[in-house]
Amino acid sequence: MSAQQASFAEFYAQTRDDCLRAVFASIGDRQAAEDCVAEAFARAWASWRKVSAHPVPRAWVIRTALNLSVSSWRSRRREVAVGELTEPRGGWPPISGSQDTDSGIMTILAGLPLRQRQVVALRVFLDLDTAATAQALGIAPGTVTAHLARATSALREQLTHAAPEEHDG
Amino acid sequence: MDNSDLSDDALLEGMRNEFAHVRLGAPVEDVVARGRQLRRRRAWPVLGAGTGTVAAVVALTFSLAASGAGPRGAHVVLDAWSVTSKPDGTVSLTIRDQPESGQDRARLGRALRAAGVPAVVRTGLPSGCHPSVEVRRIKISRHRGAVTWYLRPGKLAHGIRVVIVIPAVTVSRGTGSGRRVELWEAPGAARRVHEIERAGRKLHGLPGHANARGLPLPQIVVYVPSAVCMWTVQQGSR
Repeated sequence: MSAQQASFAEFYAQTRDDCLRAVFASIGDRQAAEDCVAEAFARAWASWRKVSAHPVPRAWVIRTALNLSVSSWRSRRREVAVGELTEPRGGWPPISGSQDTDSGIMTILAGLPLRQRQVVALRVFLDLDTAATAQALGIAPGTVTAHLARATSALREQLTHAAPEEHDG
Repeated sequence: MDNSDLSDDALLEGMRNEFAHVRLGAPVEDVVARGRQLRRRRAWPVLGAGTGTVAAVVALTFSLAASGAGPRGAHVVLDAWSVTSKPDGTVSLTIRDQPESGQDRARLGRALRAAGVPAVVRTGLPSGCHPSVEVRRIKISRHRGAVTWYLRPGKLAHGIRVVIVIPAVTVSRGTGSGRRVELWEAPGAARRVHEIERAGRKLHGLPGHANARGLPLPQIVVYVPSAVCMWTVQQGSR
């Protein structure tokens, strides 16, 4: 195994799960997330010289995976639009509950706009700071801050409503 | 716990814990192999925008067919389907519930053959090839989204042919509940067919809007060499 491949293998081992979690939390479809993340890592390896020099290679993978998922969704959307009444009106496909993740948290995430989900996912699973998150998503740092504040506020509110009431005595 | 008292850090930490068991299973070897394919494709001479897709397919075929005898394995992931060779020799084939292009269908056949599965991919059963009365019809599942088969090419008997039937698609209204995946088993091949593992067991859900389309689902048909339709299958090129 070449040094380059060893370096990629180490990167893959260290980051693949977090990248999958971030993409899964963003798009809500486990299988699609796995496909997109695996393909994104393959592309990272195909361009490893460039990607390894990236300030945050994990963010490169995430952004590629999210772009792939958008492309995939767009192609499906076009296909459905031919003669289907149940097509979504637009926006991101709804997050469905997953058999292996708490459907409550997925439902709450589904209630967030896509950008907020992405910002939260990058912050939670990749522990990126505001600047890196902004770079990964191609948006302004101030926008990241605003999205994160709104998202955490919404999550807190949802969790508060979702929490079972406790009665003393 | 009163969630209103959660700090941002605690809130995000809670989320992190919810996803702790989500792990990516793809082995690094598969990812590296796929990356190599992409590199080779990139290295293919630029044939112009109009032939770009053709070049990509040719490059993929080249990469799948290059170097060495016997199955090389494959890791191809498209919107419509995926073929992945696993280290234990199993080949997973996932066909997603969406229209196929003819090009993708042909590419699927090549990917499967590169993975060692003696497969042809067709839009329908070959003419003159009908399951005999002895053929057992096994309903795998009603499902939505996509279906994955696990094939073990190393355990298939010599001369056996796996025919993937992906019907030509006309998008129309319909209900997903009326569709199903079937494995058709030729009478003389019962033992062999059982070696095709866990057919249709693993189901993947796609977003709900994809479920109600009236798309016919793919089928896998396994023929033994003596089957009357074998000749037709061989001659009926895609």
